[in-house]
Amino acid sequence: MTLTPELHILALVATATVLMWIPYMLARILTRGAGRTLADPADPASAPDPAWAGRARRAHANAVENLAVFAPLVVIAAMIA
Amino acid sequence: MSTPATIFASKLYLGARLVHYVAYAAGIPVVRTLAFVVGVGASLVIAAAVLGHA
Repeated sequence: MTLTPELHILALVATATVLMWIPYMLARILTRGAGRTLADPADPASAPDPAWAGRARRAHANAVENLAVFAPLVVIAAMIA
Repeated sequence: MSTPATIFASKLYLGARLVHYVAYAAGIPVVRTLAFVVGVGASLVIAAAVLGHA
């Protein structure tokens, strides 16, 4: 199977998606500290995440959900002659 | 298979998902939804190419 332009772009999409947790986890470390970030994330004593970090987390989830559909389509397209 | 349409749809999808993430995190309405719809449309273009492949 050759690396079609679509497969190359799929790799870029997957790479972007695997990096999407970084901004909101950095925000959590800055908000509640590294120790509490490593502890129970649902601890009510911890400071809440900034609103934008919550949105970034939902955007990441949506990216994964859409990638689950986009990726097989691109792979199937690359596999058929 | 690889056609100009599927290549364009793939590039469109990549751009739409980047815009979606930034617009979502920044709290920009409408742009976020448009980016989502563009991504779905790009996926449908590739789906149509695959399903229409004789």
